Amino acid sequence: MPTVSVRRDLLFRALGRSYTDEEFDELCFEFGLELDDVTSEKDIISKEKGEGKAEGASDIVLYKIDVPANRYDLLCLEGLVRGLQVFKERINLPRYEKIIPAKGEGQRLIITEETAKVRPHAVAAVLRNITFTKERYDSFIDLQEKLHQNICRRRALVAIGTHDLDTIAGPFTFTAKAPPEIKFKPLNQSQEYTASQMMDLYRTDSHLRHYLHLIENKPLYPVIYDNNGVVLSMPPIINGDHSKISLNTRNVFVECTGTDMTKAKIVLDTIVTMFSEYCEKPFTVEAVEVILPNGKTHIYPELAYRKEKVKPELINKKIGISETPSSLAKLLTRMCLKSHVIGNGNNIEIEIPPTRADIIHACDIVEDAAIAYGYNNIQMTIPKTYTIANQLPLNKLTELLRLDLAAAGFTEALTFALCSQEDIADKLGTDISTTKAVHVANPKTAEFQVARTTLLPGLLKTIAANRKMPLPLKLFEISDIVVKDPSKDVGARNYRHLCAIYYNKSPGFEIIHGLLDRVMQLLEVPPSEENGYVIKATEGSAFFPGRCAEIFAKGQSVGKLGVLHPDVITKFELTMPCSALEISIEPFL
Amino acid sequence: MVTGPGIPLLLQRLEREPPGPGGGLCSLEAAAALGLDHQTLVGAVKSLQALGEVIEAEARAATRWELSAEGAEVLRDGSPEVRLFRSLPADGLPQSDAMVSRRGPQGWGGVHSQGGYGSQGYKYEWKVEEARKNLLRTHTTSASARALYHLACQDKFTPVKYFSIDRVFRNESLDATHLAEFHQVEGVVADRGLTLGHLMGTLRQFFTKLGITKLRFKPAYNPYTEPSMEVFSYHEGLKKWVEVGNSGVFRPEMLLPMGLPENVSVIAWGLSLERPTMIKYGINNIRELVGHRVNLQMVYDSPLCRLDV
Repeated sequence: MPTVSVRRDLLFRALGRSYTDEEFDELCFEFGLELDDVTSEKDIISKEKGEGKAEGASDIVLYKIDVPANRYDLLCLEGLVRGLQVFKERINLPRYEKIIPAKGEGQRLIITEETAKVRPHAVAAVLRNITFTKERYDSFIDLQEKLHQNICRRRALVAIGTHDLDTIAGPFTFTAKAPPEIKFKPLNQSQEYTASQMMDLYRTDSHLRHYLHLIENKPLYPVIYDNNGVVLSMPPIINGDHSKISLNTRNVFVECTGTDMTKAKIVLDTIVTMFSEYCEKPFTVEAVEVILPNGKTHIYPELAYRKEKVKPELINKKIGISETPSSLAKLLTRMCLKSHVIGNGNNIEIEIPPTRADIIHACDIVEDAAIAYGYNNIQMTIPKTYTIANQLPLNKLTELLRLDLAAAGFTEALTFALCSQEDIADKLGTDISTTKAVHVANPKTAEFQVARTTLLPGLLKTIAANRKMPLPLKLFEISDIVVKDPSKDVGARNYRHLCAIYYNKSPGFEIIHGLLDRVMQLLEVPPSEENGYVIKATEGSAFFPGRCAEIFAKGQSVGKLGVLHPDVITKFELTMPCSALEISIEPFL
Repeated sequence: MVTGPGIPLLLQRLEREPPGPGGGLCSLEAAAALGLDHQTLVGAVKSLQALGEVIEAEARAATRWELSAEGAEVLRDGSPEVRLFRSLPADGLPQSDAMVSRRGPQGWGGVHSQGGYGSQGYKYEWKVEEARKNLLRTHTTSASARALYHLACQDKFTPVKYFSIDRVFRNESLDATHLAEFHQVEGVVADRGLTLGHLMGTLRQFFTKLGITKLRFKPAYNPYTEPSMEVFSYHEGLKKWVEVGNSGVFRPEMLLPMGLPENVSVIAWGLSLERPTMIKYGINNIRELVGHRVNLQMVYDSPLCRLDV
């Protein structure tokens, strides 16, 4: 969930009233936001770096508000305030207007074909006669960062560049060039660099180095020039210093480039709808003509208003309320979805503004109606669904066996399904290639390299962590192991295993054997080779030579039991003898 | 009569030492001095111990710090926090999207790219290769989606109520309250004409059985449910509202490509098993509940879990 940090006093000033923390928390809860934290810059630095470093930092109260991941229109103070004010019926949602300049007077962005292989899409718009204050400027930069982190997928899908239009001259060209051929002074630097040099320069930059990989190994890097060869930006890495925005900037050229056209359009729409509030003609955006390599032209921003029709009965039925059509229309309007009743009063027409790209189906409209109604006002009812219940047979058997294993004096453990390669191979005297184990491609630590193919390591590690407990230690676990299986659509299959170990000064093979006999008795499997179970001596790399047996039942090998090899004991950092039993219980279903 | 390698050597060596707490041998030094493997010497000591009053042995612990394989990795490549993790996108990729269906006029690929079933879709290039990549599930909703798909394959639709309590995996930094694997409880009801009110009513009954009665519902966002609700309950001890679960009505873009009839709604909810347990029993570290580091004494001593008392 994205978190937006806003200054409390600015927020209350824009909302036109003050709230206590509890009151604001309540408002957020109703609307679908979460007031995650009330803090200040001083508090933040204190927590991260210690009280000493926080000396002199700002005391101004900050609200950290969690915003749903699909609401790009709530990622800045301006959007939050607008949304809440419309929700509280204090304002109407403003109408966003695209102004198309007269022929020959508007800005143009020409895309060349070289961009196709690295970053094909670009859209742009102009915010005319905008007035920035320090707060608005900070908010403007913050919004771009939030969008970059969320819908832009860390700049991979879309990157945003904002420029002082009065320092540059159109028409602008978005092209791609070889790294040594791109040379400009990047933002906040004192000299010019080539693109190749910038890759090295930013390799140690804590912020920018995460984005280098997006273009680093491409033969051509994306770059935007103005008519005089001034570099606006090299997306997605860095803007040029020449066109940087300041508090005095009056006209802003916004460009979004990327690999996903839909998202680029949404990002552009979001930025301009949010900040056109501060233009001389509020909520107006000057359009830019974008010319594609094939000569086709498009006008951006789209700022599309879409109309949907939804039947009032559908909304009422899906939520479980019975509101009149006009009441529902009012509820939706409070959620920035301007609606009115049409037809004979049996239909509602909803206008979806460009700020609500999250509305993609009627169910999104139903949710908004429910939010405006107030979730906690909806009457709670029980579905009249009549069903006969059943437990999954494998789990039912597992539950029954668990109780009886405990009755036999064994204690249950709940161990991790992921472990290291050594745990299931080297430590048990085999090679990992013989195990048919499923490997994790990107384990965060070595403890999660593979999915377990046996329950034994987990139980042995449990004993190792409980060495000080009185002996004997008798543990069991009935749970899944995972092996590769090419016949499955995911290439792997789980097997329900039962594993028990006995750890004491003497190995206790007879105890583990007794447990096997008890389990077979409970499963009604007689001790006979023809129609029951039998054990046969065998070799096992994890077992003491001459003290290992394989268990055969239902026409197949179901597992092994025996005394563990001292090497296994040592490798798991244990010191006493140990005997173990492990079988699959699936043949007994 | 006790026999074993090293026993005569050990007894001879011991005799030369002064008796009492000041004397004695260190097994490591003795093994080296006698040219015996340390394990063999330990075996000899244990055999003699089993006899009774022959020798006295005391286990001593010596610690030596050594880089584990993981430590060597960190030394070489940097800590996990330093190495970047790029996999799931910011707002989550639904596991259910990993299934491709031949049923219906459009599979899920179409719904993502162009919309369909009344939806605008996400309008991006959905790739089946990407969706086919195997992941350890991050929530049991992926299993519920499979179950619903099997339901949809039936000739005639029948209402169902499913539940699942099973393991899920998250590739996140580990700390006192987060592990790489934990458990989720999930409930699903599929029937005609289900409403948000039904979901709330079901949740109220469900949580009452867990001993949680004061509930509030908050609008939330999940890619696969709309409407979505987070469930909060008032914790008397902490004196605040804490989140106890997540729920919602599955989106048509998920259900219709499966082939479920259009008027069937599916309500679902889920919660983690570990978090409420930790809150109820006042446990601060999740490793005390799950994994091999659980204290067996806690397991031995735990009372019955009686939720309705």
